[in-house]
Amino acid sequence: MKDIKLKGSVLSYTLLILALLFFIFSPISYVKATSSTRYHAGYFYYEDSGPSVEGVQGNIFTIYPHVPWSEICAEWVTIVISYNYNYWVQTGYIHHWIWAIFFPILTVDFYIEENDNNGRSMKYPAIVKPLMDHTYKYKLLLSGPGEFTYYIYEGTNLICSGIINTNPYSTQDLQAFVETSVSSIKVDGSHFTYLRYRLTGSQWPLWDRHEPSWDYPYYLDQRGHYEFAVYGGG
Amino acid sequence: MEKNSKKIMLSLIVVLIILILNSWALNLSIKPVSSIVDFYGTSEEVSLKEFLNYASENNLSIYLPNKLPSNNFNMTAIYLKRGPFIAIIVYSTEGNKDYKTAEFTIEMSSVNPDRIPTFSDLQIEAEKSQDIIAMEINNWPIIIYEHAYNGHPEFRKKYGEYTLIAYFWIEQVCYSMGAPTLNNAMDLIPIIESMSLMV
Repeated sequence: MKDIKLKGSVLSYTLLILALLFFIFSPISYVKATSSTRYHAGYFYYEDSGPSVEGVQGNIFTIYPHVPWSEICAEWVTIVISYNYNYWVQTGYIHHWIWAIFFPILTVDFYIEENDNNGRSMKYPAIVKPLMDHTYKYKLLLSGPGEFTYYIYEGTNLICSGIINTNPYSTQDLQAFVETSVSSIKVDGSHFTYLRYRLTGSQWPLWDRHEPSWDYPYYLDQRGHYEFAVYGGG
Repeated sequence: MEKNSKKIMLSLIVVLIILILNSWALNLSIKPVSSIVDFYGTSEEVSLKEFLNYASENNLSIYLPNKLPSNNFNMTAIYLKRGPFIAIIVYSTEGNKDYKTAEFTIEMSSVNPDRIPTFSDLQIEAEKSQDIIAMEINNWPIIIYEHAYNGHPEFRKKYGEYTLIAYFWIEQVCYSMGAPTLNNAMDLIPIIESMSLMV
């Protein structure tokens, strides 16, 4: 009886000591943050001088590339609020790593991110995950003073939508890009279609001009003003 | 025996809490962030003459300050995107041409007339914090943030997280002035007051 008691105490103390040791020597000390270097390939919106744009949307095909530990791969559309201060609102999907109790897990999420006067915030607005080889429509627009609305659809089905508030809320430019944090991520298969812009009102014309941009080792296949594919890396 | 089970159960709960805290800390350290492509990717560096010619051809009224934060400041670069119209004018005392880290910058972009705020809109915004000041100069609505976050890592490395920014609207152009070396709104007001029409 005394022996069982002793064993129980030893077990509970051992568990506690192991957990504390895990906490003290856990990967926190050696986990590396996501690389600050970024590689981009995609389009800037371009138009002849006119009123500023207030909305962007595009269909993005979901790829599942190999993403090394702690790195990211994202595909997105953005409304630039200010280049000078790096303020913007962005929606798309991102492959990123999370730590689940004992192990790091690579996961993929729809996301909405903003950078403004008050700082930076990123959120995952949907419980569901973007599925491989599926195409989703991402839509972002200035819907009121200080207020942007985002929508993510699969076909005509709305997956999620919501409002984010930014300060300031002036809109300057649009971008649609594939982004990686290391050049070893192979992004073959990335495909953006039906890029659209909104000036005011409810019309969503297709992009009729664009400015291409890509960082080696990624390449851009410019299939039109509102469609492109990206390949390379690895 | 029962006491022993309780002890083990308690230990397991503590272990679980430690592991959850550990995961939370790890997830903070690997928090993903995305970015955008900077203005260099879509703009060209132009001379003041080219910039003013572009503005004149596109019926844009451009105002620039006659007064700068100090006499040592020089205009070092102008970056222009022709469509949609966006320009960043860089001033520096140290010959810095980088808009992300220079000591004084002015950004301009065309704006939908419906989106130009009124002075009373800005007053409502200014009521939110003591660091925000709303005013009018020459009927231009102006809002000054004395503690605005700057999103460029290069900027934050040089000046810290926050900066002084003024936004104002003149005709159909939205202007913003970033002045990390100035202390407060009172230092920026004389510069805004000195804005005069170039084209």
